[in-house]
Amino acid sequence: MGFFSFTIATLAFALEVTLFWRARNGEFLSKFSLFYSYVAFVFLKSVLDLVAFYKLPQYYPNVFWFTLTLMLVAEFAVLLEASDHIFRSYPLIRRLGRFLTACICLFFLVVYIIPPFMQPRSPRAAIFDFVKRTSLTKAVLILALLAAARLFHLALGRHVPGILLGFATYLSLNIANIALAERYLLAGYGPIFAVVGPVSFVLALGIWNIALRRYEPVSPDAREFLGGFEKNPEPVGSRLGRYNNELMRLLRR
Amino acid sequence: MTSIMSYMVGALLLLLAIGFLLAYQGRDASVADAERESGRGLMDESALYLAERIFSLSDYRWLRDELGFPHLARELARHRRNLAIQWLRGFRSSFNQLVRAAQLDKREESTNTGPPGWGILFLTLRFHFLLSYALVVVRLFGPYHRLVPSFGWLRAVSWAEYRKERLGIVDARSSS
Repeated sequence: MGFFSFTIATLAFALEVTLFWRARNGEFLSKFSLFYSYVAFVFLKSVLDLVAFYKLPQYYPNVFWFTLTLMLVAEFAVLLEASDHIFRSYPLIRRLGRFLTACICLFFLVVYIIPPFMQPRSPRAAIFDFVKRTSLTKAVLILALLAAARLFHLALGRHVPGILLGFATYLSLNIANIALAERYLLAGYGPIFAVVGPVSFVLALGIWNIALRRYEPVSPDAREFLGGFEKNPEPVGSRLGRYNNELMRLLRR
Repeated sequence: MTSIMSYMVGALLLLLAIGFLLAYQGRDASVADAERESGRGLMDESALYLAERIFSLSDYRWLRDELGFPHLARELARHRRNLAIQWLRGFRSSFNQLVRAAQLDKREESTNTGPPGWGILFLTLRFHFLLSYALVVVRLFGPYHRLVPSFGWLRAVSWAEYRKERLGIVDARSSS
């Protein structure tokens, strides 16, 4: 581990601690519980990797790839939490985030992630491919969530876009980095690969630090509350039914 | 080499698309305001009656067949198509306004006696799908085109119907 890698690791530690410290001071750790659990896990992973690298070098590759795989799975949980945050204030589309997450993950798992495992390949190539494909799946999921929010013109606030932008930066750089490593790792790309991955995560941590500087709850337009400012006596379910009935009447004429 | 390039370009495009979508969020408040204005009162009786008139074929037939002005009838159909598109867009805006209606607290959620969350989501997505379909049909074929396609031809190719016809089985409902 060279000086540059050590500096990047230290910077990542500092940013992770700052992220936690701000959330704890602002008392909003519980608002994004999965996201902060993920950051805590990444922190622990880095410590484990360092300990394995310096004290138990024979176990380092195993520890690194095992914790990385766990991290990749944990990222899906964070995206699920972000999707809940986008849609949870709106009763009609409260489950839209989970629906999109489930559909996209299932589709990509069956069509894109699992099939390469059926072919015989070296473990390194299989892991690279797995990381690349899961990263692409997450990037597509982020895109779909933002597109759905855009379709309904939902107010997103500051935190969720920050979390998603951080992830998108990290994932995009990871996809490009791994695609290059698959081809040129033995031709001298190894040192660059070892730097680009951590740098992409530091960039994401920087974006998260800016976006989660202080807690700012999303405030939907006051004119559009159910109950409260403009109380409508008709329940939202029956209003939805009326819209559907009118449309169907028009279509069946 | 091609696959590497495609992955790199794909990653860049994804990042750009996500950045674009996030940058657009700032303008959504004004769009929501515009939607609120265009969708106001569309579920009132008078507005629904107007929609029926827009999609009704009777005026077109009256001009073409009874008065004998086919060119005016065609002009009317063209205007009605634009009106129908505007009305469908307004209807969607009005619906989006309902979708954006936020809930103040959890108590309201527990007292809500409507369909369950997944059912509501299904109805919401179904509405959007049908409205998009209607917009495409009106744009392509005009407001007087049949929006729900006839599935009568399915009877002809249906295996059960084929067997019934071949064996001479008469449907009890149709004979009674």
